[in-house]
Amino acid sequence: MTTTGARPGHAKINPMRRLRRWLGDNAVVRTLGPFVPLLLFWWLLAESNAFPDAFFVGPDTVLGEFGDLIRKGILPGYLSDSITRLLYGVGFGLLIGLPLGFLVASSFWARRLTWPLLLFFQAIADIAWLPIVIVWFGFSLTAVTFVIVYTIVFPLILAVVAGVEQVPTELVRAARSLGAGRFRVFVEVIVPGALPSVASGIRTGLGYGWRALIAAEIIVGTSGVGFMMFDARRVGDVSEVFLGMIVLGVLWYAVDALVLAPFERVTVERWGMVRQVEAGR
Amino acid sequence: MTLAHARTDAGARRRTSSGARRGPRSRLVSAFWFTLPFVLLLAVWAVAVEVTGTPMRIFPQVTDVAAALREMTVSGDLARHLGASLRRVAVGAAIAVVTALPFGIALGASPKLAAFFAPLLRFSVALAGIAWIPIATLWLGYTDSAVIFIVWNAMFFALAYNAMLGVQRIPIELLRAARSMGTGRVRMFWEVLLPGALPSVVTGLRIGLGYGWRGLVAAEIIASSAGLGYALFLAQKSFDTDVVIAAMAIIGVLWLLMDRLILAPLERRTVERWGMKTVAT
Amino acid sequence: MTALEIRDLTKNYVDAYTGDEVTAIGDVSFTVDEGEFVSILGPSGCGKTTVLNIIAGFVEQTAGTVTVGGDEVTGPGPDRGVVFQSHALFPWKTVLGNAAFGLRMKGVPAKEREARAREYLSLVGLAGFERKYPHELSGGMQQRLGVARVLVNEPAVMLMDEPFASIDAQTRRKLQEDLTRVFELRRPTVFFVTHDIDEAVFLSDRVIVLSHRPSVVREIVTVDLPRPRDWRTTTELPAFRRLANRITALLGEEEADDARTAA
Repeated sequence: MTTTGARPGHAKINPMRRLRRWLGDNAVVRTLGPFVPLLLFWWLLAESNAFPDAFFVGPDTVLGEFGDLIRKGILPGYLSDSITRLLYGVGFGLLIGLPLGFLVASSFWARRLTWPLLLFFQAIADIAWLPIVIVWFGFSLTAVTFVIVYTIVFPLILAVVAGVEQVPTELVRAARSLGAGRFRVFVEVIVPGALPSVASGIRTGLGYGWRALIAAEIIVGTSGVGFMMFDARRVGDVSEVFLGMIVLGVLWYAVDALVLAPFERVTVERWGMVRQVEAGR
Repeated sequence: MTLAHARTDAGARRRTSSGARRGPRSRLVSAFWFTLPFVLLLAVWAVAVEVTGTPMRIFPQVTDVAAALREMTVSGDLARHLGASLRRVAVGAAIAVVTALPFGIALGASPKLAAFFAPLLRFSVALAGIAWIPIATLWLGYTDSAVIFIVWNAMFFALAYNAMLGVQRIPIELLRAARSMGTGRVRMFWEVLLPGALPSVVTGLRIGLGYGWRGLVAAEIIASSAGLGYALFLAQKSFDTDVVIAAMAIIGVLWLLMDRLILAPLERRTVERWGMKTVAT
Repeated sequence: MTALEIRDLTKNYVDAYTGDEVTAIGDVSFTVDEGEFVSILGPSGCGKTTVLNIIAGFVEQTAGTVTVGGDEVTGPGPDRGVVFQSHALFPWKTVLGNAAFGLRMKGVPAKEREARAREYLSLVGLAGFERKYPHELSGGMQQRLGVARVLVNEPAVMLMDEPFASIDAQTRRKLQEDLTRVFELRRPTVFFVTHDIDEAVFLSDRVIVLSHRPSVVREIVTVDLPRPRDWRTTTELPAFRRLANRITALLGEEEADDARTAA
């Protein structure tokens, strides 16, 4: 890596190159950088007035709206509402789904009897439960939480069972022939062995849960980001709708890329198991 | 190097691989085991409602739901709603496949395009479907097109992203082999890239359809005047819980059928037959 | 002292596809003394791995008894350690963690089990790799870890299921020599399944040759080659060749017979 004029044995690093290398290494730049040209494109599209203002606004308007809502405290309020609901839902979902999943996986009969039911109930789109849940709980927080928990629990259970089943029998045998009793086999072999699949299931479940939350807020809501978008649409405020979508996207993207995907990758790769993770090559 | 004998050690679970040829008797047996849980569930349901005397408003009896179903079929409502929903899914899915596959594959084949679009894709997968409902109804009004748009949207991003991943995962030797045999661009697409990416594409189809289906139901609840989601919503408003449950059951069965009769066989005939493994995303 | 006794072992199973009942193991009996290295060989499909699985307690026999250290075998246990062909190492544990696993199950305190694990790891030549994960090791090293993991528990019998079958030829020679060295040092009781005749003769004190299905013990060949053994010198002994040829002939007969009956 020498440039002309360098003394023999010394590489003179081009400052431009240094800057580029630093930029390339910086994780924030790497994640957000690719969006810059897209933002530009968006801005140009808005400026060109190809679409009427009632339907399409540019990043500057959205940014303004963003600032406005932050100042008024509306956005943070809605956001925290949405996130709280999601966390409740996720918490209960994990609490119910994980033990149930291992329970189903551990008993031949439990699995036989519940598997088709699990598939079926997962197929009834969580959204479809909203009407009946509204009948039972009214337009309330309970209703929304129920739907989120439901959405998360099924993919989770399915993933746990799949994870347990793909633990190679030989590992179980190895543990038993090393003196591990049933409980220890479960804790030391089954749980770690199923972990990548469980991590993937949590990720999927959360993805569904997020969507369920938005739909529930749209239909049932009195607050939250989903409700914000719906309400904005009702009064025709496009920028707020755009804003809502971007906030949602950024939030999920951030959580997925910074928390879920690395967690999945670390468990799988570190343990060198023969599985592939979809995030980032 | 396992011997093909029945394992008797506890904890070993075996599922016949879909590749194994199964006789008619065993298919009957597996059908029995598949339906048994549902029969049991119905029995438990019927007994529980009888014993606790729950009013129909809260939870209808099995017979009520059956009656509601019959009525819907007879009055032609079922056909109408079913038709509307299925049509939207079919159209949305068809457009999604036709648009997403070429796009995704092109991205997979060109690192430059991928660098530009991939982050946006990943971002959009998070938003796919439901979060677009407010903006879709803004742009297209409360119409059929809005619902189809949502279905397309839900599927497009997941499908394109997975197609891209699929192409990127094709072992480089395959591409080199093709190129050294003089394969042109178009043939490369049909003969190498598309089949090579197929496992990921099928995964994307499954995920996309899952999102699409959910999006459909949500969109119909919010935005339309026909279709299963709409039927659900209408019934909820008038507290016709028997219709609500009937509609939910139909939605569940439909998705199960779609998955078992279309997706799983598709996967089996292509990916599994070619000995390629699917990667869970 | 008898470490392992097999008496009138029979195993039937139902063929998954045809529904017929097949007798894999007809009537197998043999004993293994303490500190002996015994291999078992036979034509393909003779059920030698099944015998191992029955001894290990993974599979139940149809008839007959398996006695280890005086007690009948009813399930898997640390008195019969198993080294698997696919190594079956726990991918989420380090090399040290894998090696110490059995001791942990026994309740040995941390300091002591770490010390013992380290001792056996360096015995098999893995000193310095304690913190690595299995997937970072080569195939040969993984098998060494598999052996160490079992030996550290000082089982009554060490069962080895074609452990070197999926290793390349060069590494295999090295592993065979290392196994012999460890064996000659510690004198565990070893029951070794293989299909490689030279390997069996080189490693063992006795070689059990099974017949084809339904298998019985065809012959037990005593390998009275001197110890310590190393590949080059031992294989050049005329006795080695003689023993290997004998076994090859036996197997050949069995396989021809099998083909004839199957036809």
